Amino acid sequence: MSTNTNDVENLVGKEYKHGFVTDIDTDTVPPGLSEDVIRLISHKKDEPEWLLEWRLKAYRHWLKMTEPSWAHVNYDPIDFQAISYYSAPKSKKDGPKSLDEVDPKLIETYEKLGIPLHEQKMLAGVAVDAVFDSVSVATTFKKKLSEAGVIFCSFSEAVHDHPDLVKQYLGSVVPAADNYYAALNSAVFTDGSFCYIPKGTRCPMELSTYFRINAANTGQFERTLIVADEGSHVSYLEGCTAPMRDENQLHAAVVELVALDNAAIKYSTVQNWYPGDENGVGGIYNFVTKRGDCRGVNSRISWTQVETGSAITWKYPSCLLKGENSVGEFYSVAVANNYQQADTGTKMIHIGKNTRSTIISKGISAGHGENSYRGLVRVGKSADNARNYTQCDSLLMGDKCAAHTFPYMESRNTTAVIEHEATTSKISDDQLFYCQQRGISEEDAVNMIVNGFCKEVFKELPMEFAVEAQKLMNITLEGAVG
Amino acid sequence: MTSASVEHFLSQGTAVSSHSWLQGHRDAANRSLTNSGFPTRKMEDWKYTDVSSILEKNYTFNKSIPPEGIDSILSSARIAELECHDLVFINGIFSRSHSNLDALPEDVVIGSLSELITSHHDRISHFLNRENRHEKNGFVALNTSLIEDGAVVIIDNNVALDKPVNLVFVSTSDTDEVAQNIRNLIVVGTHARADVIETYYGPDSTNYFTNTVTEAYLEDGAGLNHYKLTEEGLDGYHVGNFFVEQKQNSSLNAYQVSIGGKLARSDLDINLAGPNAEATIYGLYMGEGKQHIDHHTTVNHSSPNTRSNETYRGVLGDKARGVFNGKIIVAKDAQKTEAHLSNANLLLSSEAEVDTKPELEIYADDVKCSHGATIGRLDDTMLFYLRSRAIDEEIARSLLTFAFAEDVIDKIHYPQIINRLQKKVIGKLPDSSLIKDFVS
Repeated sequence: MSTNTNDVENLVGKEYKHGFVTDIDTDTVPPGLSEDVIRLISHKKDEPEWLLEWRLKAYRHWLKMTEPSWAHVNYDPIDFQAISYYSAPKSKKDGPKSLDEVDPKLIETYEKLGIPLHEQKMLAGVAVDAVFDSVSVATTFKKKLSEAGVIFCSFSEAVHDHPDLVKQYLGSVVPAADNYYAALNSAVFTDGSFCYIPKGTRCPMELSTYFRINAANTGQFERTLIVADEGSHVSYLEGCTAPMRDENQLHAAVVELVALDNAAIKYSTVQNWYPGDENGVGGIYNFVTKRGDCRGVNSRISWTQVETGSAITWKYPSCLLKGENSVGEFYSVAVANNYQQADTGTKMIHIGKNTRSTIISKGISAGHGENSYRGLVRVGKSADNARNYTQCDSLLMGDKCAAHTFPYMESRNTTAVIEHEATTSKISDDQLFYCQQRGISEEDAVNMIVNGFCKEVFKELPMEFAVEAQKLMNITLEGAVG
Repeated sequence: MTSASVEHFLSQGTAVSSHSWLQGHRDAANRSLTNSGFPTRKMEDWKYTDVSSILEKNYTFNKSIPPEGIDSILSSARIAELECHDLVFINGIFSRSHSNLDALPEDVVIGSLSELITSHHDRISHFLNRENRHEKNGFVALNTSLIEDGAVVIIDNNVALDKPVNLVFVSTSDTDEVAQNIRNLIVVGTHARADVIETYYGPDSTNYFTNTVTEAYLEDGAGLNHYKLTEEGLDGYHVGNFFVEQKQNSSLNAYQVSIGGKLARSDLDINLAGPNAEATIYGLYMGEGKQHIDHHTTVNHSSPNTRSNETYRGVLGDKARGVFNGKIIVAKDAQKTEAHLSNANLLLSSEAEVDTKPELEIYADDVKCSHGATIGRLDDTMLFYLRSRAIDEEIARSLLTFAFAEDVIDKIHYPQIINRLQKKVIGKLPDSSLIKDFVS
């Protein structure tokens, strides 16, 4: 018992490692939200008329909506008029032609984060479309990808270069008026990533984007759209870190995945945004809508996430299993430390026949952290032989934290089989004693047990991320010796 | 519609009570219902259950109806061959002539609220609506506002009740739109023991409404076995709330069986308020036709070293819909809590539906909590096993369904209740006459 209390005290004492601000001139719109601001964003990005109309429609709908309050989180009301909705690094204006021309400070930022953007970091074979604040700055491996026919670019570029694809799929998974934050995103989104894998193509490398929130008071509203055409395969990595700030920053992204017949998308996230200090001051509000649409037969969408950052996480990567035999997967590790609050989970909507879904969720609460799993498994009338397996486990460290589970299960089909299991416990004294008795230090023992607890999820991550995730976990638990 | 129905329902109350403390509760409940209204599907706890079909009726409460054919109704409502203290309520009104309270031991107070409220005013007023129960939802508020009759069971310290108390609530109306409002109070003193059975029974073809609230208070080391058998008629509506407050070392065994009612909603709220308090809950719900059966349970571990174990099973056929919501809350300092919950559902038809949500809300760290929920159909391998032994498919299905329900039924202490439930469960299955041979 006492050892755990010490662990937590040490955890609380740990400082955020990625907290630094890069001084770059940014082209920022004054705070506030109105149709004019949306027109301005659209104009600055030189967007076609239909997209502006789409944004305005979303905005008008957003005005009629109310902020959701059902999540198990507490925070001061957000003043949406105090946020600046557009911020682009100046360097884009100068038009960097190669990495050398990119603002060195930016490169420095990425280097501090250890992002594989520059050459020596390409070892892992990762193509990075780095979103620094809102505009894509540098893209690598474009050539290799274009040889394979893969389109991987920033959203703004996609709007100009591939308007038909964007028009066809934008909002087809997450409609503009889907929910409060998705509507807000639809109205003001500035950039993001777009990815299209053509028929029968296996993407030759892991695609990766890093999002950073940099300029103060700038909410980031990315929009990611990934379309995997028939028989294609792609693995997409998303990682996040953000500098230290005292004000809460809003992040309301939308991610849409579309998998057509026999296609597979694997979407992995490591989220390590600034969680606020040990008193719960500052930190990112992470209100994200992520949804995958298994549109074709035998399609497969897999979400893997490691959520260690953000003051508040409100995120439910979901799968619509429409195609026959389609498969949805959700693997998640969520850590809530200090005063962090996480309300996360998934939705698996079974519509097609023989659809299968697996949900593995691991929550770790420490300090005053609050961690909730909220999930929905719905089997419709038409989803014969649907199968779901859900397991969500919570690990509690310290007596001031909290762990909650809210799984919804709705079945309308007699041939469906749904299983849900959840456990909550602390690291047992027996386990610790067993390790220590064999000469393993307490810190190592705690690390080992936590890593073992998360293993089922970590093994789903691509190699590069698995290493990073383990490192992150160990940093989180650093100094956890009593 | 809502405010109109609130007005109508509240107008069903009788004249001002002669007890000012009771009038205080009624007034508070009145205000609370007027302000908050009845639950709607927008409320998380009523997401899957629409009560508007109850609210649009102009029910008349606690109407005295000449008890024609009451004997035959009562004989099927009573539990056969069970020796017990009997309290019978007909349309919400206590019927002394049908009850049997002749052999009451000393040191217990058992009777109807309307009769005892004057003679045992001190003890009843100490407990009744103690935790402002009416704030829970519109139906409890309505119940409190209309408090008139119900059962009172008070067991003195160190007394073990010799026989179970059987509370029989029957609706006899042959006309539509009669409602009963029932408020029961159970108090089990320090180291005392009691068994209480509540049976709700009514005719199949009339539209009536039962709104019942039971409060139970278990003192230090007290033990209560509580059975709630909801066997309302197939056109009857039932909304029931059961509140339990447990002090240290007390233990509760609760059995909640719902097999009747067009819409039957049963809430169970247990507060384990003292160290070492323990609650074991078994539930069974079976729906057929267009029945809608809803169980919501909340077990609040507000003290350290408390234990709870909850097992619910549901069988849904035809177009029936089953709803289950089981919440476990572990308070900040309730260390060493152990809480387990399991809910298994069997869907027998392609048009049946189940919505289940087991919830954990945990604010302490040294706990062992788990919950599990399943929804599925009969296991093909089990069916094959039986069929390969020359049992035809229908019977095999019925047998396996029965076995699924039996897992809960056989946890009951009284063979008389087991018998009754087995018969009822079998009666709902195809080829029931054949299975009987297998079972007995």
